[in-house]
Amino acid sequence: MREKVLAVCEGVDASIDFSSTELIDGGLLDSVTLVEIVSELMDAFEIDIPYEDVVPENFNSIDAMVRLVEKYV
Amino acid sequence: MSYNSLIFFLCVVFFLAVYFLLRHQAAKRIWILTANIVFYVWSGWAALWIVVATALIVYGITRRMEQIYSRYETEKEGLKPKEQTVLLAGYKRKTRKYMWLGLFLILAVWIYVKVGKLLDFDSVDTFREWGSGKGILVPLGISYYSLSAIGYLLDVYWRKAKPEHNFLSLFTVMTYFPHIVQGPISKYSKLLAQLHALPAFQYDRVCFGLQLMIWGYVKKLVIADRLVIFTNAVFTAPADYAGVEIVLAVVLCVFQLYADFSGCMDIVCGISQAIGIELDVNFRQPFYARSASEFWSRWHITLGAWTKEYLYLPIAMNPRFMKWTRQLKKDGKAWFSSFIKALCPLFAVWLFTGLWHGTGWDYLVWGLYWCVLMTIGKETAPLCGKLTARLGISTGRKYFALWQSIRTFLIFGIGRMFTVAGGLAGCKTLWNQLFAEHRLWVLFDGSLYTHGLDRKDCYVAIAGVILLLVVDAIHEKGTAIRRTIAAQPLPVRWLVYYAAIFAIVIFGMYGPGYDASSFVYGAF
Repeated sequence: MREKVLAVCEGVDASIDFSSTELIDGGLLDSVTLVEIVSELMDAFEIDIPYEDVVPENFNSIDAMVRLVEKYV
Repeated sequence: MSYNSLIFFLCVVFFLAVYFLLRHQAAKRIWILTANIVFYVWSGWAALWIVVATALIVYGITRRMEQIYSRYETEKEGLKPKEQTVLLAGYKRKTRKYMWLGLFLILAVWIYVKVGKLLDFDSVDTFREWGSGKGILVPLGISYYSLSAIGYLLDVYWRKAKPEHNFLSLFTVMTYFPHIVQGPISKYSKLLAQLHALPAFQYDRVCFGLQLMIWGYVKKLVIADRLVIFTNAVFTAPADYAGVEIVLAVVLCVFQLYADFSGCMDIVCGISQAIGIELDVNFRQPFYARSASEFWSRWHITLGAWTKEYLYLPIAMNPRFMKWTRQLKKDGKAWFSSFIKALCPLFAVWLFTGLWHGTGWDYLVWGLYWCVLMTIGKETAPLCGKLTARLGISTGRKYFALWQSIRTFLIFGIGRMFTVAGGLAGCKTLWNQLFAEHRLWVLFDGSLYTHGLDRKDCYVAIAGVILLLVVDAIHEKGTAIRRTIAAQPLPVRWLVYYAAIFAIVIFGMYGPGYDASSFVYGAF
């Protein structure tokens, strides 16, 4: 699961250091990239991520994204 | 009561003196609420009732939404995550009508004020004048508290914030006098948490707050109010000025707006910090931004954060919109899908930002200008990367960063030209005049000193702008100036304080029959 989430993220923008735990708070993910990642995760895992789950806590790290995806898979 | 008026300053001194004498949390909260009401009533009783009504609407609707969601909380026990999602979707549908009702009511008052201003109605202070059709009632800070109230309403709807149970607490943060007039646009949930845990008196924190306040007054009274004399003279009658004077006025108006708006933020954040409530930062060295999009993450940060959270992302993540863009991608139109995904929400954000600043065509064009620039910036980023690599330009070098910062500054200055000269016709005159007559000699023959600022004023203004840039440069390097000052020996500290206070007293622009000039962003 983790590898797949990481692959999705790197597929959106490989120049970002996804090992960071402050992807949103540290300004590494801008709005456009965030939207792309959410969209790609929804496609890759065939899930729906509601907007209320798009909060920094769920996208600050790959692990946080994995936890979010697991909730809906 | 303007933040830079003497009466406001004296009221704040009295407010702080009493506040620091109070021991109980509840007494402190009541004292803050009292100060808010006095500050608000200063601009008229009628406006206060509109804010009371807005607060009641927001309070009632958020509590109703909480009631509905509480049923979901009990029913979801024992269900699998997917089943919980389905159940929650049902409860969201039930709360949606209340959310829309709240949005409609808040926006209706705001739109009424905006349309009234567009139609050039006068502002009136009483219901009697309003009832007789003499003008429109404009509640103080409506553009700011409306956005915060909408944000709070949506946060509760999206279950990102818990609604406040105490109406007076909600009303206190809504009318909180340091942020009501021109922001920062606060998240009520953050302010409420701080209001419920007001810290005890702490010498360092109070000193830092007062220092920030003094720096804000220096920015406003010494720099902004000096520069505005020259820029107003030029922008009121641009046809009378040479091209070089227009360029100078455009450059200076950027510094003037920055000193004015960020000066106000420093004053209000300083007051708030003194009592232990941290307001959100609204400026972070904007002239060090290297692109248009970075600029807006450093300038009026709370407005940018609001539009991102409550406009950009909800539109971009709207299920129907996402379905459409994903279908485009599946159909092999990946670039177009990505372009639409970025452009549509961005267009909505800048349309709204333009209308928020003003209702004329000039503000709509200004919003479109930024939307186009950001779209071009995003779409050409890969191409620019390849181009700089091929030309052997090292993008990490300081000279390249300096070039990018200057370019961003000019982009902002050109954007200001749409609105500063009284509309699009004024903007056209500015551009015409820019190329019609250069008259470079006005820089050296003393003509510049005849537009309201004499030679000494010009020197003070230049020194002020340099000081602004130096302070920003120090902050950009990560040095906290106030902590550095606090670490100095007592004589050095007081020398700095006295220098700042005397700068305000001696170099502040008061003029004969001084009446505090209003802040630029207070008009929204």
